[in-house]
Amino acid sequence: MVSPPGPASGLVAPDAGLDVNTVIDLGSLHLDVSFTAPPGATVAILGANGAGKTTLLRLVAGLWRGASGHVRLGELVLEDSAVGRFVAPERRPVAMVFQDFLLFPHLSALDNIAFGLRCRQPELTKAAARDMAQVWLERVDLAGHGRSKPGALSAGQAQRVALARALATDPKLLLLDEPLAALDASTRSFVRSMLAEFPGITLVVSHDHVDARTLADHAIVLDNGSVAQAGHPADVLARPRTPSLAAMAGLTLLSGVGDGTAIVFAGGLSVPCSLVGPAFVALAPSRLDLATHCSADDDRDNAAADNTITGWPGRVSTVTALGERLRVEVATDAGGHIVAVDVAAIEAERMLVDRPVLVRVPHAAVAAYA
Amino acid sequence: MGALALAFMVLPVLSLAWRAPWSRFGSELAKPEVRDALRLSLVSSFVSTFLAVLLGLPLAWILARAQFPGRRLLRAVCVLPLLMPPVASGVALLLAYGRNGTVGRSLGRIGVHLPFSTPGVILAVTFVVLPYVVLTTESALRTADVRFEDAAATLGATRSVRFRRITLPLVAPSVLGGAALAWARALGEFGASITFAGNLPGRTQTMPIAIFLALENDPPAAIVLSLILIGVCLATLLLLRDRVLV
Repeated sequence: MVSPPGPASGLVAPDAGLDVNTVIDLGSLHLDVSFTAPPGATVAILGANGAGKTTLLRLVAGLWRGASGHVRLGELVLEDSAVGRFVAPERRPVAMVFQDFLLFPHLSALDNIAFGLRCRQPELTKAAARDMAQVWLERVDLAGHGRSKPGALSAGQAQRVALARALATDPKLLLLDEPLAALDASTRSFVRSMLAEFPGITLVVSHDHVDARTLADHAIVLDNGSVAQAGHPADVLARPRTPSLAAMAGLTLLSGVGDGTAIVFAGGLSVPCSLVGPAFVALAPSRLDLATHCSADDDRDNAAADNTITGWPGRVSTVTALGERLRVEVATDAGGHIVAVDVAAIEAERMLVDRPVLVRVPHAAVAAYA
Repeated sequence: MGALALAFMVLPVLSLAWRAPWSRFGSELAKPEVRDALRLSLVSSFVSTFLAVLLGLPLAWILARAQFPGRRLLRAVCVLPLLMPPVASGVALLLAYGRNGTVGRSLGRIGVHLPFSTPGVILAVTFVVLPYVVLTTESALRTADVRFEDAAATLGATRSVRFRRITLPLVAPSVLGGAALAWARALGEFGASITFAGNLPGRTQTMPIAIFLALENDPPAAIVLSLILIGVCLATLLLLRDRVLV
């Protein structure tokens, strides 16, 4: 079971970890987030656009000051509104990789990396900083690109320079905003292994459930400025509570009310379940099936006879090709719920928009949770 | 119509070249008063451009980044010297820094007399060209992505390091562009200079003033001086474009 959302949910932090409790009102967004992360943890921050993911990173970095709350990193109190403490971003042992990299356009790739080194270690000479930067360039497999200006780098190369620039400052906390978005598959696995070697705490904002599963050992889901879910990424993604997280995980999310024998959704659709009270049902499109060959009434009779499958009549609303499969979205006749079903590409000619179909829901495919 | 506009712009310059007594260039340049005027023009234009950048940068920063009531009014005030007729600027400067001016009287007490002096020329020219630097720099700062400064902060850069190593280099092309514009305007400054600093050969007589006076006494000399001034201006800007602005 997933632990209920709330302060410090799920992630029990020893003193040496990260402890964030921050509130800020930005007009369009009221952010109120608490979470903790143990030393060495990688925490995926998931959620829809505008849910507050980047805002949270900026608050932890000190680029914005929270209206109240605290940010503690091990022994360091980076921010504590109770005592009026606020450590400026340049004095926090925190590095950030921005979504669009923000490499300084007037500095070469090498000097971009050396910049942070010299800021964090003022005793370094220019030459020494450049030597260290060169080592970092080699580490991200860009040894020959030191003299290139950011404008001459590909997105993947710029991304790696940005990552090297952040890691070179030897942060205790690394903040990554969509770190793998611009990378091709081979670079992704390269960067993943680099992040795995990073000893500090990492917060990583992501839109990609694969990134969340492979990079992170914890996940928090933001919804409209607050923590909607927290826990292990696989658990969180298997039991989404917000439509955006369900979409990210590729699941259909329905919410209904359980009466002890079934969960009933708006419009009267139901699936058998013993839960009582408000409940969610997540359905994986690959585990559902569509019937189009006979009349819905026949099929409903069949489904009724087979007490391991429930049938929901509806009409095809959209069809999208996904490689070998077709993702068919069906609007159910009862309640107008949109249910995604994967079918073989060979079925394409039968999946006409507005055609009546029957969504077959095997009871074994129903993941229900309160 | 386009051709007409082009002819309208080019014809006067061609006439200048056409009527120029080319043999007199050497003798004119050899005249001490011409060399004095040329030197004063160069000195005053460069010094006032330098001052305009020095004073204009902080002001542009405030206009672009600070939030305070009356910011728009302040911006309008900064544009004022651009809109004022230069002669009126000269009169205004006399009222402020002249012998009996609001500030000039106090300056006089400590022995500083700006009108009719070389520093007075520089003061007048700086007054006229300051808006060029302020406006171009302000718009560059306004359009520059402040998140580069955020990125620098997360890399450990203090406020002053961020300004010197990130913001300033990012807006430098615009600042230099504004400075080049200001310098070209400074080199030709006439109205405010002659009103505030007068026409003292060797001290306040710049090239434009020398040309204006020559036109009455010795028109061919005025042509020669005009071409020299145009030549200096073009040569400097071309040199800057190759070295700095690209």
